[in-house]
Amino acid sequence: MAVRAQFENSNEIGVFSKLTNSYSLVAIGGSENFYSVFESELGDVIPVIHTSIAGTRIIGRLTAGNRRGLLVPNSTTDQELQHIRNSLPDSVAIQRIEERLSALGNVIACNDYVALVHPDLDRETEEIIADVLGVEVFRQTIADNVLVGSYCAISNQGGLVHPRTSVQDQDELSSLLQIPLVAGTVNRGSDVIGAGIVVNDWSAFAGMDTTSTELSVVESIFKIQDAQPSAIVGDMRDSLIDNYS
Amino acid sequence: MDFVPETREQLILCCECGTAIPPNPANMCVNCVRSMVDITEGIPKQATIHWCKNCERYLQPPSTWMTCELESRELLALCLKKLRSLTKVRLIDAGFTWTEPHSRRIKVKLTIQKEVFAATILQQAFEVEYVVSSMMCPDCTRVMAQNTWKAKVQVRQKVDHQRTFFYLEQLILKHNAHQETTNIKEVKGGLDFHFAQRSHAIKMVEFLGSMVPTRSKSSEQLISSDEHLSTANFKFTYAVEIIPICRDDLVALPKKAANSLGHIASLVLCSRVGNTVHVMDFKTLQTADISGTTYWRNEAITPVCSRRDLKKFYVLDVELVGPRAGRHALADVTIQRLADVGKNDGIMIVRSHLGNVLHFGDVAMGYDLHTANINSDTYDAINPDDVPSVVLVKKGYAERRRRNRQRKWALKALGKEEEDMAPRKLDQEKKAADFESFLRDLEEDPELRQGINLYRDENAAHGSGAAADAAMDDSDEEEGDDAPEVPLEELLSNLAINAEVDYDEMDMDVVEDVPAAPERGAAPARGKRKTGRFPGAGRSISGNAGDAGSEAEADDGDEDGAEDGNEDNVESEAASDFDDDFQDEDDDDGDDDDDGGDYSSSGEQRAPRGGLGKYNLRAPSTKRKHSAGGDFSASDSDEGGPALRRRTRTAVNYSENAVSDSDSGGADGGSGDDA
Repeated sequence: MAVRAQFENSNEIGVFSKLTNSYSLVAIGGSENFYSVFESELGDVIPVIHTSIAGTRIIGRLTAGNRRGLLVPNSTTDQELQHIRNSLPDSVAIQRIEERLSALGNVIACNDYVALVHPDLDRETEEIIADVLGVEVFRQTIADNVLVGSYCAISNQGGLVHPRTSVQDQDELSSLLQIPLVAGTVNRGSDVIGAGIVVNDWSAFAGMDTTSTELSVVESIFKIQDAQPSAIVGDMRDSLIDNYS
Repeated sequence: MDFVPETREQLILCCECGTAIPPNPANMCVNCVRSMVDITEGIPKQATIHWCKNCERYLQPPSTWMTCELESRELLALCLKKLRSLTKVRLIDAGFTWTEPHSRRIKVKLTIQKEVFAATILQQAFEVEYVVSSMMCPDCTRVMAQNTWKAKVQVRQKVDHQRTFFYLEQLILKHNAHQETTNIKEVKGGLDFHFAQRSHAIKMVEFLGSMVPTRSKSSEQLISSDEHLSTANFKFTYAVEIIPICRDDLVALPKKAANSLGHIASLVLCSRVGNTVHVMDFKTLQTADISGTTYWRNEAITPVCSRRDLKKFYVLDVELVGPRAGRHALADVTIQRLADVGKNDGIMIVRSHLGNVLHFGDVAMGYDLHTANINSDTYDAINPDDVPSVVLVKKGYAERRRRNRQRKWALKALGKEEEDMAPRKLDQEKKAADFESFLRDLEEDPELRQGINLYRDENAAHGSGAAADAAMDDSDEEEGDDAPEVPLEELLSNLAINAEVDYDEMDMDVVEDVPAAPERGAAPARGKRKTGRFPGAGRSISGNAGDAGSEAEADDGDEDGAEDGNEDNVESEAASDFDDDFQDEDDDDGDDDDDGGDYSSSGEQRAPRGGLGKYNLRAPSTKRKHSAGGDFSASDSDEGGPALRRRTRTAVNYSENAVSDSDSGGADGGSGDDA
């Protein structure tokens, strides 16, 4: 079920949270509203961890991870690292990476099998990603943007990419990732997909501005709640009526 | 074989409505963007602009009034300035949508651009409707409320005729000096000019001072003051007095003044009034200039005889003495009073400057100092031996000549407002006589014509053939004694004769003869003339002012009878025509009122002689109207406002014609009915 959420009046929830199939990170906000949304949706299944990275709240942009591991930038304090290690399940490896491009969330987009990374990323980092996250790493761009993490959101079910991604690029990425892709927007036309939504295999969170049309695209491509691409038309019609009536 | 990349259009779903669209910065279809944001928000779709219907100017806030054509660039600028919030968007295009001019609506189509979302620029066209509401501008308000003047110039001349003001009027028209006036008022003894600003009044005073010798005094009246701001509001009045010496006046100089003017004689004739008064000793042809300062330094300089004192003399002999100066030649002229001809042998020999002009058998006009009643200390101080018995001033012309002739030229008139009190009949007649006298001056003196604009009278040019024929018969009777005329070349052509011209009501004389002078372009360079801001400035006066001639004739019936016997060389009918236009002034004015019967009878007698009966019957009709009390309100009723105010009429204007029908055609018909 795709859920709309807002972090302190910001719709860019992908900046303030990280969601994988085995854990979820949430920034420490002024109130617990944002946390509560994640907790109510995921609390029974996976741990939802309150944390900061290097003292900041933009944890979604600084970290990258999947079911098997979590990569944090070098600026992460020992205390934070300790706290996260304590909170994460034992099966999840956590690794601090020494990388010039320290906003790992912006330069790495990954699901449990494949990672797309910034073309300029260190070879060492690339190796670490492959080791820790257990994925195949591809240096790619999305719609000519090197910040692959910012402009796409992928799960094991599917992926949403920047609206200007050409059909050829989509085909290429799709064949690399082995999942269906769709170009789309979140937050009422925003093309910064990675910042607008966080997804895993069974749930998705989007910014409060995301329209019902966008949400139905998200649900269908990530196959949340059995929503199939064929159902788009029907759902969309309902939500459209809902929106405009 | 080259690889041709297959370009498939990339589509996304509009984030609002879900339709497939190519990605754009807003990632929204155009319709959704439109429905979500209105970039014209905050720009008023309707506005009001103010427009003064009098001067047809638009208000440019806060206080400027601009003249703009409809659909002009200026008007568009004015309209756009009305839309304040236009600064927040980018204006791409603006233009007028045509609207019916009378609808008082102006529609402007605007195209604007504005950035709505990040990097999304939206362009939209819309229409703004302007309501043109009428609001009188302060200038016009000032004109409308006639008493809101700031400065006034009172021009006065202490003489008993208005010729100077007729001339001044023409000078003002020629130099467009009246352009700044808000109102011109005719008052007893002169004119009042009203101005919105003090500087305009000063300009007028200076203009007058440059034209004629004047003396002016200024005074101011405090209207209001603000102590805190130390500002005050004044009304300024300039009293301008024109030197009371006119053309043809006999001027008595005190000994001292005469000596300072080059030892000229004490008794001199005024030959011309310009910047200074030109005087001439008629016994020696010596000339001198009396400036305004000279005059007012020594007010003992007095005009002792003026034109109304002129008497007629019959010229028996002219003997040139020798000296000549310009047009003048000194001569000993043997004369006899016209009244004495055939009665006694009162023959006089006088020295005169008119040796060139006078011939045996002519009639000369002159001052009879023997019988004149002169009250002047300066005159009394002159040695009686130096005072001639008669001073000849000018040649007299046959009266009938002039009556039979319709002027081929006309003058423009200022739009003057009369004083509140309607002028008495006598005043009106006197004014008409003065005007006629002024017109004759213009005909006789080319120098006088130089300073003013004369216009060709189109109406007169198409004078009826019958009238001309009738006049021809008369012209055969006498040759070589025609009064001077204005050559056609001197006339300007662009005079628009309005149907509403008041002077059309006046007595029109028929065309006598057409001079052989070819009609040239009539000085086209000078022909173009700006009409003044105030309507009325461009109106014309045509025809002979009033019935002065006919009245004169009625007045001196007894004199005619006396002359008839003696004049062998002059036809008996012609003898009566030697009355000049001042004849009525010679007699006491009381006669005018007593002679009611004479008017009608003389009018009927002269009916066939004038060629067109309808013209000559004007006098009786006028008379009747005035005895009936004169309907002033009827002629005033058509006055739309101060700016439209007409020159109010002279004697003949209050005829039935003026009441029933104001145009000249109607006037003729009306007088026909009278007959």
